[in-house]
Amino acid sequence: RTQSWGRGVVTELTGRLETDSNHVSMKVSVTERAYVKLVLHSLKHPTRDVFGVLVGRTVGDGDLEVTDVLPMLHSTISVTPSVEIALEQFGLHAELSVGQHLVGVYAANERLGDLQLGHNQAKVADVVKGNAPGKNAVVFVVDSEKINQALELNGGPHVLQMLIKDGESTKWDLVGSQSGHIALAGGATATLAKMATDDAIKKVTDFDDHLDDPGLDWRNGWVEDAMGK
Amino acid sequence: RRDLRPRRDEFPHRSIEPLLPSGRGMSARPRSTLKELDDTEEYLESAGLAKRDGAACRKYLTMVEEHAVRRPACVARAAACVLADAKSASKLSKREMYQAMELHAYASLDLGDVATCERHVRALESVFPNSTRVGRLLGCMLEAEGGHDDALKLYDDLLKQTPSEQRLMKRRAACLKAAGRVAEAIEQLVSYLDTFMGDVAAWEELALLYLSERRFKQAVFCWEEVIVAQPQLGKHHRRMAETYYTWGGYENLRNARKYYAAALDMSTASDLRAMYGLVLVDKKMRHLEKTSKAAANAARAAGDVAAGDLGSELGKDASIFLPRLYKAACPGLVPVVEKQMRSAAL
Repeated sequence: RTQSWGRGVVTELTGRLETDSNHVSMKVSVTERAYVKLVLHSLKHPTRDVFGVLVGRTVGDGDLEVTDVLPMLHSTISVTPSVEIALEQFGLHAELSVGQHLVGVYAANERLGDLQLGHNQAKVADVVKGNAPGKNAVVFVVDSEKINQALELNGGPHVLQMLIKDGESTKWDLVGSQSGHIALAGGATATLAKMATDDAIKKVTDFDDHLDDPGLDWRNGWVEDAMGK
Repeated sequence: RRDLRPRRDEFPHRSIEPLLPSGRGMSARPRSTLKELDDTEEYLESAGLAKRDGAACRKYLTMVEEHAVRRPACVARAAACVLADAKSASKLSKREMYQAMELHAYASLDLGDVATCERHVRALESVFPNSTRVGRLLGCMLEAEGGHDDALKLYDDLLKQTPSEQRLMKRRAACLKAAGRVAEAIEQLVSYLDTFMGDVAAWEELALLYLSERRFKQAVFCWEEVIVAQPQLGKHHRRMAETYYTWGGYENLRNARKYYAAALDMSTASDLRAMYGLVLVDKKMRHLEKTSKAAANAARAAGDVAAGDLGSELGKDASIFLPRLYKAACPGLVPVVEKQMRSAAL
């Protein structure tokens, strides 16, 4: 199912977490801008751990809409100061600029086939979940094996895997049967394939880059302009 | 008269110096700067590779070899250009040709092109049989295909032949890390550093490995080795401070503040991470002084001993300086930063 949403087309991922007695499903819709920024950030650092935050809001009953993505790190999370500062600034930015909140995190692990959250990444995801409205949060992990396909010009499948942590669980679990519920708009993946040029990949900056050079802006406002063309 | 001065290669300490891939010791001054490398790369990507500028490609490959940087896309294209073009290939010395093949092989591994790497490996194997350098390349190829166990077996065999081959020991540690066996990678690096304790990059890598296992005490020990070896770099002091901060506890926070202050000083007030670090440390220490009795006592004791503890003002100064820095560097973010500093002061 796709909806037009202002300037972008919304890609919808539906996750279905099945427990024995009842089916729990959280629908997460992702805007084109968020998807493009997320994958461009992972493409910029193919040999390293990549981490960032999802900005959005709750819609309806427990569903989420991810409108933007703020790239944070391109190194393994081992010490906390950058993460603490980044989370605080990202949260403030989300509130001050669009009145939204941090609704999750995304990660692209350095080892191929690694689709789980590391210990430190999970801790950060827990913090974001604790501060999210209604404690509704989701985690996206980039499946690098699918990236080549995704960059084909007619738009391949998307590259995200969704993880959820429901009330009782202590870890972030892969949502079962994702492929059956993922409805993809042609728009987002085709836009990504068009935008994933060497120049665009070099231009994406994250909070880590900003700390090295304060002139670099982690909001990456240029992506919307480039998408509009 | 005979020349009684010892020849360069007879100095014993040379054998334990970390070696650059080209075989020169690290005390030899590099023949080019990183900026030259970046400029050549930019030229190649914009125009040089399109018009197959062989001379520029050769110069670029020499610089990449010297600085040991990882630029797979450009290196692969430059090496292909140099090797494929018959005219420029005839101008290459044998050494340059094999170096280009080696660089091309490593770059194609980074790009996922194992076939090209295999081609070069077989060619190099036939020219240099029983070479550990080719053995390392072969091991990397096996790792790229996911065969970490095979690669480890190969490294072990090669190490039996040449037990003190530094790069092989480090390659084995990297293979274990890539396979996710961090504890064994740590063991391997520790045994390497027991022998070759002058290798600063290895100490850094070990510190990062310890941090990934949250073994802060050992990580601090490693950072101390790095700082002793390169005391003029603020980066090491800053990373030591980050480790102490993550470790937590009042005494460690005080150490963190000391190292952040040193890092800021060495960077002449341009290290953004150190400034943010001082704000964070200040906030945490004040929180601890209010909530923990032990911390409050420690604060009082410190106040008695060192009259005018300048450290306590650093956080406040940093929080005043940061918005000013942002006004000059990135004005769009000033509201966010100001709000953050205000909440830190509360």
